[in-house]
Amino acid sequence: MAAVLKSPSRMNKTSTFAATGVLLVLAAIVVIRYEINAPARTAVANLTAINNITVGRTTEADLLRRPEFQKLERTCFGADCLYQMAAENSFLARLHLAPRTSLWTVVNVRDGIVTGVSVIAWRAGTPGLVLNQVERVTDCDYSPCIKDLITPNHAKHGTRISFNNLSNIRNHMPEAVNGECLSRLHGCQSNTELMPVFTEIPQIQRN
Amino acid sequence: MYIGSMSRAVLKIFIFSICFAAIQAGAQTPASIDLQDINGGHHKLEDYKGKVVLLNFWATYCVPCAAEMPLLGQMQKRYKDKLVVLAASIDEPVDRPKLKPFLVKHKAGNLTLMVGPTLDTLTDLHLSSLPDTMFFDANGMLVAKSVGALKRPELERRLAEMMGTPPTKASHSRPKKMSKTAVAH
Repeated sequence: MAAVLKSPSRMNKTSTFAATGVLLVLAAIVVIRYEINAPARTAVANLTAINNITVGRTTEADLLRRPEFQKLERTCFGADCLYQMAAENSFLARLHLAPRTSLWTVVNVRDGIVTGVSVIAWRAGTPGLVLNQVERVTDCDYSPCIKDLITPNHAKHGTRISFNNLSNIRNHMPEAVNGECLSRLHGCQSNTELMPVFTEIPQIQRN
Repeated sequence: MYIGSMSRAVLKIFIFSICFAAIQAGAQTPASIDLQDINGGHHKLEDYKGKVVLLNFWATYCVPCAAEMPLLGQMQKRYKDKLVVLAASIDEPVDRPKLKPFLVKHKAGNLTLMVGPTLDTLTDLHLSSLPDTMFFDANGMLVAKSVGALKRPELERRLAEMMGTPPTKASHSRPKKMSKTAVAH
């Protein structure tokens, strides 16, 4: 009789353990998915936050009307200030499932007016990529233009796309840079994958 | 005959020693580096004689450069009077207004900002990638070079060696804990 009474409680215990196990696995899957997807979501949010900014015209007051900028630390030295947002695939990189990839969005301000907007993308082991909105492009005769960043002794350490404040790229920042790269297994392999805007710039505008 | 071949061997060793000494002497010549501060003033390495100099090349678009800046800021704070960390930016002149706020943002506002290293300097130092850091002793001799992001334990050990002081207690703690300290300082 006692043996008959024990078995349902044993069964209850087993099913409780099984249910707990399943719940733990599900929770782990949710956490892992969150950790993987969070950097891309942050990157896209950051890119959206710097969309539709016009260097030389957008004021710091306009900037601070955007909720993302209200939370940011303002770093200044003299009249020059910057706001910086960052996203990085730390989880995937730590597990060696993707090369460490960072995406920074930087807005420079001087005397209450935005003086520069940059997106800096970097994959471990490769030169950095910079997408730079300036009031006037001085690097070359075209806007937008692509320029290799080289040290005076000819070592390439980056590539920069500069465009002026009339270029339509400024209104398409989330499409110009692929934030999804930060949540992709093995990351993005090429510059054009990381910054699709590369493909839209004619060959002639590459210095 | 035997004496002749022996004297030839001695002569060879003598010539070899002279050549080797010359190479060594070349390596020990104080480096000549021309840097500019943000106001256009020229600076040479000799200006910092008596102090260990850490010359760090960086740029605002270099993510690993920014990552190591809090560490450099912390080392400058730790070795106040014995060390000068020269943060030499190779950004273009148009980007100069961004440099100091960038250093401040990355907890490195106490570094000595330099700009526009000359071609000769970069060629002499074989700058090939960013970040790139050179260690000069108190006599201006280049004693070490580090390409890529600096690692805390190695940097602390090297600086402690150059300063002639034992590594601090902090340098024995776990790197993860230290990086938090670096951010908080």
